Amino acid sequence: MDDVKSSYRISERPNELIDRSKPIQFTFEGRAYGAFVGDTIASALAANGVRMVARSFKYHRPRGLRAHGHSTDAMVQIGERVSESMWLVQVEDGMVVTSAQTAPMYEDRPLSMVEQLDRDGSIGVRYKTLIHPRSEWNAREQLMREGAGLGELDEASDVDSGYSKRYLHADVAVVGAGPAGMRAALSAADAGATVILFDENRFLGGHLAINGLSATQCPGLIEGVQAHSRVDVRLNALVSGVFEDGWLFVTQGQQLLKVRAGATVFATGAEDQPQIFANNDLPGVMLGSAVARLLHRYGVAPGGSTLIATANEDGWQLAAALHAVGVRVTVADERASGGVLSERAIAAGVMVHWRCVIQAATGNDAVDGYQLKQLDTGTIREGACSCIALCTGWAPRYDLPYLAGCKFSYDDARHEFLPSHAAANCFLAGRVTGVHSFDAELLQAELAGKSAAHAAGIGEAPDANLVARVAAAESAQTPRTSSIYRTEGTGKQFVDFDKDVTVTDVRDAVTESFNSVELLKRYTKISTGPSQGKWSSAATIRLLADLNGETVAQTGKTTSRAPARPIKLRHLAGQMLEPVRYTPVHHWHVAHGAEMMEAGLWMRPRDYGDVSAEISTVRSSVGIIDVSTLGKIKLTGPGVPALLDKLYINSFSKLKVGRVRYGIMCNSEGVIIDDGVTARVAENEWYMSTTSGGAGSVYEWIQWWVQSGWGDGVHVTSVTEGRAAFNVTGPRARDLLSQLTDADLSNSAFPYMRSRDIAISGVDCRVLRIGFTGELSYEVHAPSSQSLHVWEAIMAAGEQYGIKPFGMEAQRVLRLEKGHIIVGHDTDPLTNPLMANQAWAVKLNKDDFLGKRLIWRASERGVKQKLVGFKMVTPDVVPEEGLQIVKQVEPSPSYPIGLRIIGWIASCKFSPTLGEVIGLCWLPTELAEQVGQAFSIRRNGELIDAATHHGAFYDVDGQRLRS
Amino acid sequence: MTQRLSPLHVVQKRANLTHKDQAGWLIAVAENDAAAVTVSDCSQDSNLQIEGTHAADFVRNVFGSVPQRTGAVISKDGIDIGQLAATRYILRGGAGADRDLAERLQIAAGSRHITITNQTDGIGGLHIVGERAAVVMSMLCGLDFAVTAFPIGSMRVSSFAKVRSTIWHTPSGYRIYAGRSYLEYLATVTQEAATLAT
Repeated sequence: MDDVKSSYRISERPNELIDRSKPIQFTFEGRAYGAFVGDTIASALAANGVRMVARSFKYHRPRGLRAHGHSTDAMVQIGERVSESMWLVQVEDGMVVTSAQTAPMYEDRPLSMVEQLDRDGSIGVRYKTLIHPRSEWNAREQLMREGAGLGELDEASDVDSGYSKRYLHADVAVVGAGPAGMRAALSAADAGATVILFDENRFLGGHLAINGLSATQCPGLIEGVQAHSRVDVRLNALVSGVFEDGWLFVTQGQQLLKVRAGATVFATGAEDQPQIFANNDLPGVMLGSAVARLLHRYGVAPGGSTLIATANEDGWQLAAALHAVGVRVTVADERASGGVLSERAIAAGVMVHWRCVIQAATGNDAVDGYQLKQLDTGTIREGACSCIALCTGWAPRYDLPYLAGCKFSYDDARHEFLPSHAAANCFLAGRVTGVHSFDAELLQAELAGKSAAHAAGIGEAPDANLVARVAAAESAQTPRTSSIYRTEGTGKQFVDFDKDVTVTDVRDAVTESFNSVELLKRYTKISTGPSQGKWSSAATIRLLADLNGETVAQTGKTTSRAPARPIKLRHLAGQMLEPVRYTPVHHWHVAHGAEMMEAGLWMRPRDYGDVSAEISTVRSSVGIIDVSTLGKIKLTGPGVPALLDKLYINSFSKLKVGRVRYGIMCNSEGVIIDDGVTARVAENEWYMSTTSGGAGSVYEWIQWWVQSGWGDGVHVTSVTEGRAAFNVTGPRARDLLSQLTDADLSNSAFPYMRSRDIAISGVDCRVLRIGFTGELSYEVHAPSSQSLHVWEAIMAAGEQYGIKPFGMEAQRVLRLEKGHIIVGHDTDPLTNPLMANQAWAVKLNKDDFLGKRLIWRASERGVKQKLVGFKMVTPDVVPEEGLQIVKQVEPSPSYPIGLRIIGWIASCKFSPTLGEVIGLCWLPTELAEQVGQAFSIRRNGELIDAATHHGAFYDVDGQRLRS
Repeated sequence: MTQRLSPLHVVQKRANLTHKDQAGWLIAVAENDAAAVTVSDCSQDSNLQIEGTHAADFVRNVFGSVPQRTGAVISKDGIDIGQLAATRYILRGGAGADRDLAERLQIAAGSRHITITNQTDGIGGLHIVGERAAVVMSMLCGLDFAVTAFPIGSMRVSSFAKVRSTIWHTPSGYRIYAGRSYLEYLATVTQEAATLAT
């Protein structure tokens, strides 16, 4: 067992990101830890010797800090913030952090038995195993959900916290502020281009800064980009996608930046790749870059003694750095000998095993040792350590340039995907191209920057000499990635850590014929986690190639898609915006005691405190309702009559100027989609009103048909907002309005279903003699900007008649007393006019109209259900809308309680006018067509009685509204 | 004549703003400050729409020229004319000009099938001014507000705070016109965005 210390913080490092003069405290999984300002959660936990930070997704195995960036194991919850990466969030004093991946418990392993059960842990378990037996599914699902973790959303939290979007423009965008990115940015800027330089880190320098070399090897670069007037440096800026024309999708803080540049340089670097070996997921197994980052940027050496597995000089660079701060370092190098760095490190005292690869990590809940295999002899060598750092190879971060249209192909000699084709106005520089030598990186970046500026129309094309030097430098690169990506050992060998996918899983999937890379990805979920395959794709492809007996080139790669990095849904949603609409007299309603209710986006008065009084005032004198929310559409042109004849099930073409007609609109399936009235206000001008909810959709519907060739030359204009509308209704309505106009409102001069443009209280209005209440009614459509004056004038003139405003609740009762339907309330998406008792409106003798064919067929075959009025027989009960209408039958397996559902209640209200409970309901046609047919409604487990009613409940022959 | 009221009239009264008559409209007197961004009511602006297969010819005959592409704007006699589509144009002018202008256009149209709709009463407007105006616009609208993408003297139709709006980029700032019923909501969220942006 290796030594385990209480603190792994080492002495101060040059360019470290922490402020040691500012200690702070935070908690992780309920335990308090110390940190310094500038620490990330990961660095603070590493400094405190916390080895296990999460449990794995499927097997619930302990997981530790492994690789910098986004991964399932690194996800934490901080208050209401979920799915944050512990590598990216800085600790704040008092911060409370929990792992998103430890549910239900952090330290115990109640789900560890899952690891032993092949059935629950095997690949494709979601698709094949867990659904059988069905009876166990609910329990299994719950177990999986709790085990999966992923944090807990606080639904009560305020989501409107200033997230916003904006565009940025530049001649050249550079992604990645490592040495190559900085050099490219300066090169482009020096050529005269405006440049935006993005990096996801909070510091400049990229891999050099991570390896502690920025001060010595980046002379002039950092200072250069910071000082250059044409370079806009944006740190903590995550480029997640590249879309058409080089449109970059960037998140920075609470902003989503949409970046348009003339050309883009991708200097996105490379990721070191984990080797696959037994127990390669144990806490303590880390990528070399993660160890280097902790060491150089945060002053933390994450292990007391460390084994470095390497195949190149990068591992020796890390070995030397660790050794220098007192860590006992052993290097396993699969090569037979090294270079200058290895010679120096060995001379300084670093132990080495040449021609050795790691075969297994040992330990229960964390690494306490290793097994190495000697490649020439096959002998196994064991040793103790608390950290294993992997520096065995690299994979270019090609996802963003790939999204931009660049192509990459596998290089068998270097075991990496390297660029084979650059997209238009895209340029690559640095490690993403497989170039790892510093001088070559800078030279290449110089060329990329100049080329990008030139592509953006700035400066001269790079000279041929520079192009040739870059080509020579690129071709001089030597392999840095091991040919060995996997060793055999005893224990689970993980390919994808996010989704807990092992070599065995991949082998099983291939056996089951999921042997193409795209199928394998979907079946196993490899590369679909937060890391997006950053550390698993390359190994998966090589493993699959081996299992299929193919080359990597033959195997291919999966398709990269945006977002290439995890982004918050808040960034996509932007600000929390919920539009709300007010009628022009909204504030009057509120000031006069209206209880407002939401009706779609509109706010409408539900009532003014006494619904019964509102109803009785309408029946006995006069009331007024604000119906400004009704849709209003202006149609002009000689083609309107023909168009209306096709849109409505009834006829409009012969409607004379000044007249109004009610119409029902159906879709091509014969289903009612809206109703309303249309007035012909001039020879070639029509004024249509729609339901409030249908205002937008009917307008779009008409536009669609007009643009499809119907109604040649018809112009359709929504004028919903232009006019407020008030329905003045009741036996004294004419008396009232006559006081406000010089126009003749007598029944002979202005009869029912007519339209007139007249002045009301000095304001030019359109008045329609129509109504929904069954009383004498005038619908006054006034210009919105003057409508408050009109409303107040009506209220003042109506004072002598005891006028009352009424709301939607009274309107619903009044219309029910007349038996009028409300489309969408009494009808559903299957209702045709015959079912809704609107057969009178259907004109099957018209040439054609939308829905004619199916309505005709329904008329031939008959309909099974019909909407019909009813009165309650059981006294003092108002059945709720939606209740079932039932028929008593013999109990049977189909009807265990002896009740068969035969219909439902569509609308039901108590009518104060009639003193009865009345409504509309859906019944089988044979029952609906019989007057007084008794039926039962099931309410709270009991049956209550009602009987059918035909026609209006009030003013059956409609004399009052025509008077 | 009955004075015309902005959809923000009551809200402005509650905020103790002073109103004055401007060509038949009761207009709140805007405070004249030098804030980084200010949001004011311009619902009194005239808004008319011209539609028809021969709308371009009609506009050219009446005004002497016509915008040549969608989103383009020309100015004639104090009226901005923007092209919504090849067959549809929108006219924007000062307060109180709408009814006379509509009548004049109707007469000019004669018997031609040109539809002229005075939308003034149905539209509310906000005027966003100041050095941070583009930032405020970006917070509420997905359009690219860089002057190269949305130059001064052009217009766009887009979703602004989730409401379909017509946005004009004028020398003084941005003018947003949307359905009158939305204006109180739009004024609120725009003011909030302005506060955040500064």
